Amino acid sequence: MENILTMSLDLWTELVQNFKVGLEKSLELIKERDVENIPGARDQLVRRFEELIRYLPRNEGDLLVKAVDESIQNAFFPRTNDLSEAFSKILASLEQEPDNAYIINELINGFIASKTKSFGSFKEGPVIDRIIEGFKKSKRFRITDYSFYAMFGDPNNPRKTLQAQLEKIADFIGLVVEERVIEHDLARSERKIIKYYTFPPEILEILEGSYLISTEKGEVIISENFDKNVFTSLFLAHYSIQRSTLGKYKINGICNIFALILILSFMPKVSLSEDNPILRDPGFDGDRMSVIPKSWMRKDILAELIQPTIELVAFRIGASKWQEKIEKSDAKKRLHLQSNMLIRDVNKWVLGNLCRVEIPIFVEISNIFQEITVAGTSDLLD
Amino acid sequence: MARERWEDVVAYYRTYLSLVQSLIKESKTMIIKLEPSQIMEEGVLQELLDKASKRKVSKVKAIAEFNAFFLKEIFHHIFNYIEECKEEFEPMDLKDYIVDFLEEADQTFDIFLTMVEEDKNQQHSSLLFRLFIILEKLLLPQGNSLEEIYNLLIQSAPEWYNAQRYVLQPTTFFREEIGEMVIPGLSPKIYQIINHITSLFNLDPNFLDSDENPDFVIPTIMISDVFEPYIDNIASAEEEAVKRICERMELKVIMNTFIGPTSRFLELAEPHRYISTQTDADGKTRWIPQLSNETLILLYLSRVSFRRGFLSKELINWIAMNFAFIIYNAILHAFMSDDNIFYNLFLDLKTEEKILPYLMKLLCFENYLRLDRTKIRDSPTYRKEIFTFLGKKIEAIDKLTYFLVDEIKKELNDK
Repeated sequence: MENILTMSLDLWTELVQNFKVGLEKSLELIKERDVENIPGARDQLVRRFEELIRYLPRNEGDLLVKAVDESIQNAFFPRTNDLSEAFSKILASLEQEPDNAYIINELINGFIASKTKSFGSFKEGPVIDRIIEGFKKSKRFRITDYSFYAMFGDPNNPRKTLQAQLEKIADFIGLVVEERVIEHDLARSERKIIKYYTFPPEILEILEGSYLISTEKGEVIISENFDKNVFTSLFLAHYSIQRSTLGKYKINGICNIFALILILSFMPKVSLSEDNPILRDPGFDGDRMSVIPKSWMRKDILAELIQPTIELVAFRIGASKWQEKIEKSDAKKRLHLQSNMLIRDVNKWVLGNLCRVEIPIFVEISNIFQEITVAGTSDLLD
Repeated sequence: MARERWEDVVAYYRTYLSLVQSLIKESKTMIIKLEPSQIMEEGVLQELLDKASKRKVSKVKAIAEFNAFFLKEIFHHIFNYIEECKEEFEPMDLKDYIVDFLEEADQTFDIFLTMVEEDKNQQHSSLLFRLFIILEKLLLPQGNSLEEIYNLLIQSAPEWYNAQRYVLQPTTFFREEIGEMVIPGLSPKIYQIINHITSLFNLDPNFLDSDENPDFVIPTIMISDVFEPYIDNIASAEEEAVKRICERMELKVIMNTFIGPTSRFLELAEPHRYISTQTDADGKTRWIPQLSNETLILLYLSRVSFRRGFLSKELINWIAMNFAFIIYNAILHAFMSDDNIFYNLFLDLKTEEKILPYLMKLLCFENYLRLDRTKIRDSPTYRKEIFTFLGKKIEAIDKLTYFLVDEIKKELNDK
């Protein structure tokens, strides 16, 4: 037992060290070339990288532990074996912070869409949206494969194709299946098996009341708020309790998403001079957005940073079992690069500057770091 | 495909509405005649329904079948409502509520019937036209030049950009031959590629001497960089079509290796600060890209709007469906209360599939979108697209719907 613990500790130390090396390589690359168009932006970024190198690996990387365990896992991937507890926790965090919900939904959507040949892509459109509509139109919160085909089927494709896709995606997001056998179907005079897809019973209990509502005049309707958050929460809750048995693709996808959130949170805000045109651009909302240095989006810099960060996140979430499954081959690194494009959907380019929407999860992680650096500076002063 | 006249389509559009409206009226008369206590007896209502929907067994007439079916549907809503609320309300109140619901549904059908002006030359006064004009300005403005349209789109982009990009992204992709001149909608992959092009231009462009103007140095990016993140030939079709994709955004392929802006792009983007200039030591003008997310997407949309005669069948259906849906929903929200038990009758696929395809066709005529209406799919086989549309609806479209609702309410208050 002690041996395993020591091995884990060694691995963690090694991962933190790799992360530090990644940061150092990135810093060298940033110093080599300046692609910033705002005066002083590169200097700010260099300073931030120096701080990251100095503070993040300290005390066995306790800052990283805090950021991943307390912020990211707590909000999106709670450590529990109880599905309903995990679901309620994630749903609450998404409902209370719609901006968090937005980023995680966008990232998961992109994650599913990033593998075009996979089941997630249904005629290149997000199938989750269709399932939501299926549920909205359904009675008693369940959809059947037949009604799903009637709603979304392509007349040029056989029913089976869509049903198989639905089965895969239902399994992917954690819906449960109930089969009903009709011995003698009136229309075709043959045996017919209908599959009902619905939420697990413990989740249905949570949804009743908030998503199934009774109107003043007594009608029971599915609430307008029934949206992607419910599926995202189910998807994440489902995987968080099954973390020890997840496959490679899912582990890589989830770690990728969380690693991107982590990296983005550590980036500094660039100070803009008052006459900078971006401040007058109608697309820029100064209260909710901040300009971040664009260098870190450079392919070469990200390539150095993303891999060690993914491995760090993987270790925190699923220990060595997850870390071992992170893809390290060049071809798979490309997949990571592709996922990085997702981050552009949650950030904005405004007049050539990359703007981060200041959503709560970024602010939370950034604050953890801020506290330490301020404390570190005062230590030095003392 | 036959090119139907305005009057023909109006007649088709109104047929279903008037049929269902007469059934609503009939149901209302039946309920009014009942004593409140009879409302609570399912047998009485069932008897009324059976009597009203009685038809000869020997001869099946489509219209009689249709009436019987929809009357049953209307009564189904009434039965459900009574069942759910009989403990809560007095019979008198229940009856009043049902009559109110029916009255409101009747009036909404009236609005749908009268919002389309039958005389093609008298469109300017119709509700449909007024709502269309508001939407058109925001999503697909008309103009004499690409520049004029682009400027109009950028003006409304701060508030409506999400809706603007949404009308470019059809959800369905049926097999369709896309000719050289035809402009298709943006698939999720193309959208991702355009975003990637924006990022590459902003991050780290190469600079080359312009082949159009020897005094210019223009920014370029490498085609291979655009497609590098894709593996397993995921984007090979797009890679082959890169030239065409670029042309739609006033970009061009240079030496089969780079993507750079055309001089037209420089003219269009400069006034909006999407590109700035700097004079080099050798006196040449260097163009520095500083693109926003909307720069390329709205250029694509401007081109779609400017060359609306050359759109793909998929995109025509998608644009028309967006306009039809937003207008249809705006009227529903404006004239029907949310708790009306017949609301679902309007949102039912059976209703929508009979109204929306005709509304889409009407919106394609010359006074409206000016799209090729023969390409609108009104066959029942494709009715599923309506659901596909609903499934992908985003917040921006709801926001636009409520924006129209406010406009309608303002207009009503002014009257």
